[in-house]
Amino acid sequence: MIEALVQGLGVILQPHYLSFLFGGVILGVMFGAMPAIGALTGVAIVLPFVFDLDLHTAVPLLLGLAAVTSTADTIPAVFFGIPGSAGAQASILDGYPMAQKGEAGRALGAAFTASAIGGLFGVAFLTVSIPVLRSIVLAFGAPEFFMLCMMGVVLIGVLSSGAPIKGIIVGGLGLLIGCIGMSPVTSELRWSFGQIYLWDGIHVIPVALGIFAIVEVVDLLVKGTTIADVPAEGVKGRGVGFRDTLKNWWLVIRCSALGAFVGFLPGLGATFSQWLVYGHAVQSSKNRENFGKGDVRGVIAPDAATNATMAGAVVPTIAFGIPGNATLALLLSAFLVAGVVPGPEMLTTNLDLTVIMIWSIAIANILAAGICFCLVNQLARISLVPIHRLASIVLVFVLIGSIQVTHSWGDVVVLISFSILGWFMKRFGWPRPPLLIGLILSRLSEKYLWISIGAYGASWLYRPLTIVIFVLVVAVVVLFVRIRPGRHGEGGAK
Amino acid sequence: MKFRGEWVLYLFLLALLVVMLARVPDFNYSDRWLPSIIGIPTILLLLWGFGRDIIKSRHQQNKQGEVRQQILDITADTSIPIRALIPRVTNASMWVLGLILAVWLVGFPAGAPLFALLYIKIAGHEDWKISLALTALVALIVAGLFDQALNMMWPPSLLERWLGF
Repeated sequence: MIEALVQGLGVILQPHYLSFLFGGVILGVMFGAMPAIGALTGVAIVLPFVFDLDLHTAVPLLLGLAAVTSTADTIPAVFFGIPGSAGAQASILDGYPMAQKGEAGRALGAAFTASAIGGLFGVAFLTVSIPVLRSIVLAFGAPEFFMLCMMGVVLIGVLSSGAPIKGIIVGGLGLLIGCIGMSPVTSELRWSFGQIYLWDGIHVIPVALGIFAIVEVVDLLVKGTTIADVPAEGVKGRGVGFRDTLKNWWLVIRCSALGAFVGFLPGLGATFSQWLVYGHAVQSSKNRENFGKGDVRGVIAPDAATNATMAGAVVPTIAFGIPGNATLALLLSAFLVAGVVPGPEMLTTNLDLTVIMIWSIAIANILAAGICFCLVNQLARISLVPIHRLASIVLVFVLIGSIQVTHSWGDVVVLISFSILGWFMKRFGWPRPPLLIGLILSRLSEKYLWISIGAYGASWLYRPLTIVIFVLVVAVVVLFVRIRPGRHGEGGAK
Repeated sequence: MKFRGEWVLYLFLLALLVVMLARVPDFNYSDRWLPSIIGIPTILLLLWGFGRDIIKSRHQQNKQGEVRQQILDITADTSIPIRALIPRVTNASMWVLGLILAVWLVGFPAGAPLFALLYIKIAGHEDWKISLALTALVALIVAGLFDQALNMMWPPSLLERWLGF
C-alpha cells in the first residue's frame, strides 16, 4: 500500500496530471463561490468534456472540482448569509454574524484552515480504510453486490428529502430508465419505442444536466439580478482565523472524524454531517452562549466536517460501487463509461487509480485553501455578477455538454425532457439525486442480478450476507417511513 | 378537496410507469427480472403515496408552494408567488429553447454566439460594449475551443442539411 501511495504521488505530481488537478480546483472554487451551482451541478457540467480523457487524467480534474466546492461555499455563506451549497448551511449560523461584526476575514481564515485539515483527515481515513476494505470486499459476491446496489438507491432515496417514499419511487424510476435500450444480458431492445437513439439507452449526462444544471440556471434567471444582493466587504484578520483553528485542534479532529464516518454511510453526506458536528460543537463546549451569535467554533466545526465527508464518501464508491453522494454518482458514471467497475478491482488491479483519487483529494484541499486565502475578495465578487451574463455562457456549456455523448439531437430532447421533470420535482420537493443514482446503478444491478440467478438459482436469496443487507435495507425503509413523517410531515415542509 | 399541482407529477409518473410495465411481459425471460423486481414495487408505492396525498389533502389544506426541506438536493425558493413565477419561468424557458432552436437551425458555431448576443442585449439590457464582449467570449469558446481546438463533432444543423453539407 505504501509503495502504491509513493508511486501515485509520483504520478500526480507530473505536470500533466497536476495541471488538470489545478484546473479542477479552480473550477471547484468558482462553482463553490457561486450559490446554487455547487459540486453536483459543477461536475455535471464538466463531466461530458472529460469522457475523451483517460481516467487517470479525468479523475484529478473531477475530484479536484468536487472535493473543494465545500471549501469555497463558505465565502457566500459568510459574506451574504447564502450557502454556496447545501453543505454550507451551518456555517451561516456563526459565519454571517461574524461578518456583520466585521470579522469576515477571521471567519473565512478559520473556515479555510479547518476545511483543509478536515479534507486531509478524510484522506487519511480513506487511506487507512483500503487495507481493511480489501478483505471485506473480496468476501462479497454478485448477490451481495446486487443487494448493495439496491441499498444505495434506497438509502439515498429515503435520506435525501423529508419524503422517503417519494425518494424510493424516484430511485426506482431511475433504475427503470436505466433499463431502456439494449439489454446487457440478451441484447434485446427494451422500451426503445422504435427510436434508434434509445437503442444505447438514456445516458446519464443529458439527464444530470437536465434535472440539475438547466433547472438551477432557470431558477437563477427567474430570480433575476445577481446571485447575492449585497456587496461584500473586504476581509482582514485571516491570520487570526488560522490561529483560531489551530487553537481548537481537538475540535477539528473530532469533527473531521465524525464527518469522514458520515461520508462513509451512503446517502448521508455533508448536509447531515455539518449539523451533526455543529450540535456536537455546541454540546461539548463549556461556554456555549456565543454559538449562533458569531462564535468561530461554529464555523470551524462544520467546515472541518464537510471536507472530511467528501473523502469519506469515496470509500463506498470505490469499494462497493455505491456512490456516497450524488456528485460521486457522476464520477462513478465516468468509471463505468471507461470500463472500470468499482469493487474488488479498485483495491487490486486498479489500485493505482484509487491512489490517484486519494492524492487528488489531499492536494486539492491544500490548493483550495491556499487559493481561497489569497483570492477571497475576488471570489466573493462572482456572486455579484449579473446572472444573465453568467447564464449565457453556462447555458452554452450545458448544451454542448449534453450533445457530447452521442452527438445527436436525441440528447437535446432528453435534456429538455428531464429539465421539465427536474423543475417540477424541485418545485414539489421530490428529491432528484435518487433518479441519477438509480440510472447509474441500473446496468450494474442488472448484471449482478443476472449473475446471481445464473450462478446460484433461487439460493442467492439465502446467502447470509445477502440476508443481512436485505434486512438492513428493509429496516432503514421502515425506520424512515415510520419515523420521519411524524417529525417533518411527509406531506409538508418542516 | 382542492386540486394540488403536485398531482400532475404523480399522474405523469403513474402513466409513465404503466406504459413501461405494460411492455415488460413482451421481454425475454431474463430481461424481465430487473424491470419486474423494481417496477412493480415502485408503481405500488406511487399509488400508495398518491392515495395518501389525496386523503391528506381532504383533512388539511397545504399552503400554496409548500416544499419539503431537501437534504441532498437544493430546495426550491418558494418566496416568489406562483402568479409571478409562471411568467418568469416561461420567459426563462423560452430563452433556453431559443438557444436550442438557434443551434438546431444554424449550428453551434453560429447559433450559440447569436443567442448570447440577443439574450444579453434584450433580456439582460446590457450596453453594446458588454454584449459584444460576452458574445465574442462565447464565440471564442464554441468556435475556438470546441470546434477548432477540440475538433468537436456537432450534430448537423437544419441549414447544413438544406445546403447539403
